[in-house]
Amino acid sequence: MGSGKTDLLQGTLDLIVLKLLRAAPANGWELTQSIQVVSKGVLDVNYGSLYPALRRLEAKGWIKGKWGISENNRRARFYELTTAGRKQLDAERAEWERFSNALGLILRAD
Amino acid sequence: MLSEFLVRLRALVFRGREDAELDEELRYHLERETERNVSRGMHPREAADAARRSFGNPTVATEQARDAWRWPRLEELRQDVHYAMRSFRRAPALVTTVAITIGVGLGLLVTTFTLFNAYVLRPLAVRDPYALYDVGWRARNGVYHAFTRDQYTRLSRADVGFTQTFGYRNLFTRLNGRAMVGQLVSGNYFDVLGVPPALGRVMTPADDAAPGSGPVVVLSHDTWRVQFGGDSTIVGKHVRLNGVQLTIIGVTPKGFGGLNSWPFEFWVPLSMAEPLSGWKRIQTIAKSAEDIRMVGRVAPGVTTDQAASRLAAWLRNDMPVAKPESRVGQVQMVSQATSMPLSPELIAAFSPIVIAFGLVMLIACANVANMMLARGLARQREVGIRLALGAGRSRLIRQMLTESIVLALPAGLVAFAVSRIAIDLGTRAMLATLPAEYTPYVRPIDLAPDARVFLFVLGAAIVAAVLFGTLPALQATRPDIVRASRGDFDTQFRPSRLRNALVIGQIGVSVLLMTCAGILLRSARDAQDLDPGFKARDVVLMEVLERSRSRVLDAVALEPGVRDVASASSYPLDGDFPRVMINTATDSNVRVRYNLVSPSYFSSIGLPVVRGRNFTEAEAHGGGAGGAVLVSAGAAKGLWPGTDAIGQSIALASDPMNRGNVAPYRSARVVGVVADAAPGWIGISSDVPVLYYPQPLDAPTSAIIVRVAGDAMVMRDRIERAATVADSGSVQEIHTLASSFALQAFPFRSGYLLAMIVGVLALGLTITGVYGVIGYVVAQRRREFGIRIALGAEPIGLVIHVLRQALRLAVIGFGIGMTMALAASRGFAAVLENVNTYDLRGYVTAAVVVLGACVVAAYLPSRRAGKVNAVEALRADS
Repeated sequence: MGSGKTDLLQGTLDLIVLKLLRAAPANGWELTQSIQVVSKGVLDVNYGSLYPALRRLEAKGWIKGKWGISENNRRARFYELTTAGRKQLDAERAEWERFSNALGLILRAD
Repeated sequence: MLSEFLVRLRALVFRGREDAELDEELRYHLERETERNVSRGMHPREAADAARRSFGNPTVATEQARDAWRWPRLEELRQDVHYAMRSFRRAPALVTTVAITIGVGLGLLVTTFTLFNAYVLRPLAVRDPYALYDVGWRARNGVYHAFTRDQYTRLSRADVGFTQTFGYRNLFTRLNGRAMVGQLVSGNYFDVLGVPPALGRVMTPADDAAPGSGPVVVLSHDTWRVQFGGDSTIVGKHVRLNGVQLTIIGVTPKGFGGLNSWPFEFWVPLSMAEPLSGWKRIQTIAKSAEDIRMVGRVAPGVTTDQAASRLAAWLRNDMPVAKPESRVGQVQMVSQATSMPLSPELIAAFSPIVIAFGLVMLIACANVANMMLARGLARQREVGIRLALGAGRSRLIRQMLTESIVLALPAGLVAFAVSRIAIDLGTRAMLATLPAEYTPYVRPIDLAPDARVFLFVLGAAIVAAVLFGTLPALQATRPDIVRASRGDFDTQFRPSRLRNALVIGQIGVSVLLMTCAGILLRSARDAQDLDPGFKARDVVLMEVLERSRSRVLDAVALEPGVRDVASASSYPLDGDFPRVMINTATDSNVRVRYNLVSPSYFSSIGLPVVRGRNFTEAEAHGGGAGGAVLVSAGAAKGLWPGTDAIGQSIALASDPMNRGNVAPYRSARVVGVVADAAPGWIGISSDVPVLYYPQPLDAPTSAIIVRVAGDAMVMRDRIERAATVADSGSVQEIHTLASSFALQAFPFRSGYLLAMIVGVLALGLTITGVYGVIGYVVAQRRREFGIRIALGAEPIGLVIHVLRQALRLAVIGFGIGMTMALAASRGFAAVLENVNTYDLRGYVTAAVVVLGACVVAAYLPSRRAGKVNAVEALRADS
């Protein structure tokens, strides 16, 4: 897409969700809003793809979903990071940094 | 990962709730997004549209989110099963045909497995049966040994790797004119096995304290119920066994029958062995007799090999002086966990049956595979479209295999029903056809199905589904089916080749089974008509207690209707005669069967002395000193070909096997030749060499043979009564020789019946297979036949054309089947001596029956080829 928006790399959505949930539990809609805000609108997240990702992460035991009451007093499903998820986030972040450093080195080398 | 598994499992179990929750979550998202858009000033409808746009395709999201928690394969499976059920509901005829075809084939295997399970797999109902081993040893020369009384006593105190051991001896006897089988056991028997009494008490070591003490008996539950009417006050009552009064002290729990393939009926302390056997007169023999068998419980942490080698070391130390060849070779340990240990002999005995049943099963699978192939052809349009639309081939194959499995499950139910009926009928038929006086010995063990049987049915049904479903699934989803779905068949699309191969295979197996059935049938008839060489009618055989022997002989001789009384060390028909190693003038170290007989033996069973003379009484009482021997005609011919046997000498070779009662006959001269007779077992041909050494009428351990006038069955009862009057409890076994003969013919007759059933089933399945395939071929070629008729072909010519095609398949199948049958009959001949491998009539009969049946099966549908209406066939849409 040439409109200044970037497609998400495969698997990066998981990392982003984990990172956002580290700060505080959130429901699905809140997560989409946070992604918009934090990425300053650069990342083009297809909101629909968020929910399969949440379920995938929950199946892996990294996050846990619980029904709660949203700020406008409605029933919504809130997700929080588990201990395993925290470990996974640390591992993936380290991995990502190594990868992006390496990529940076390659791209800068002239 | 466990947590992942749990999440998926929860999603599977609470499928509906999970779906509702996902919907709610997505709805929440869309509503919040719409609200946000509205708050930014959009029109509500516009806001909802925008929210949906930013969400993407909600169906895809829902599907993906759902799959994240599910096993996609399982989901597919659910759909496939659902689809299969729906399509089979529309085809009840197919479901019924498959259920019956596969059900009958599988039913035979389930029946066999039920028996195998009951005898070989099901652990006995005793404490920790897997640690129990029956122990014995073989000398270096291969002779099997149990233990002497003293040896057992010393051994039970020694530490050879067993936590507990008990000794036992089987006891055949009669009670109130009925045969009984029980055991003499050491006092700790019930303690070792952990079997509590159901009534009264079980035996304790105190009952088995000193020889001759402890006149008590424990009855099995069945015996108590059947023989004693379930009398609840039976404890303390008395029963006389072998003339000894025993007190009934208890009854074992239901389902306990000892460690054996047939259930025992009573248990008596081993201390009662002498009073019960009447051996007192010849105690020296009793003392050295290795008549105690031992079962031990291997200590935890000790392997059977360790226990065996420790026991071998103990035995070597216990018997230091022995000839090299009779020294301890190896200790044998046989597991007692189930009724029968799984041995190579057992596998060898059962594999022909399993193979025959398995082949019937394969024929049934081939039939169903043909039906599925035809079905696949009918569905090729559907499959072609699905392939064209991008369905994966593997996905379609999986779907078709699922269909096959769904189809096989009702067949499994039918198979189970067939097996129950077969077991019930088989048991009844066996009891009805066995000679009546042997039925008391036959007590089938519990054959109720258990979890293993049900698992087998399920597993076998699935295997059958894979067998009959794989080829049709592969065939129906071939890539070129897309072309075929456009109506463009005749290029390379030839499923008929596969079907032809299946039919050829079926015919081949059918020929194999029919030929084997034919050969067995003829050998069974031979065995039935077999002349055992003597007159089996009018002879009664009995075995009596040693201490009663002379009194019984006197009483029987006085009984009116008794013509002649004789004795023999081996019954005329009670298993193969023992063998002895001899030297003659021309041969050395030949092993020959022998029997020790009183001079009256030959006249008693009507075996004529054809040359020379019979023994004299003096020779009979000489204990081997007289040096006379009679030989069978087969021996005369085999040992001294071309020379006169009379006057030749026979010397015992020095061989450790030449022990026991034959040992005194060191050298003997042939004084006569007797006619050939079956040496104890009618499966052995009569002309094998047999030696007859003389013994007195009252020789110990011999069978008593009585020639009677009139009805042998009536005389049997009268003789038993006379013997009982002479000495109560003296009769241990009594039969008519005719019944013994019928008993020996029984396995041949039942084997023939079984082979016949298998052959007929195979033939029936093959006929339906040929009928189905030819019928399908005709239907498929309707158009072509129509054109041919329109062009002036004779209808009869078309019928012959189709028949010729069927006959070609039959002839190829026949050739394959005959080759296999020749190989198989050699296998039979190796086991049964009286099977004629090259039984021409057997082969010809099978050939005529199978080929004839194929032609008839093909003729019916081929007639339709001649009746095709040209106009109709051409007009009809293919």
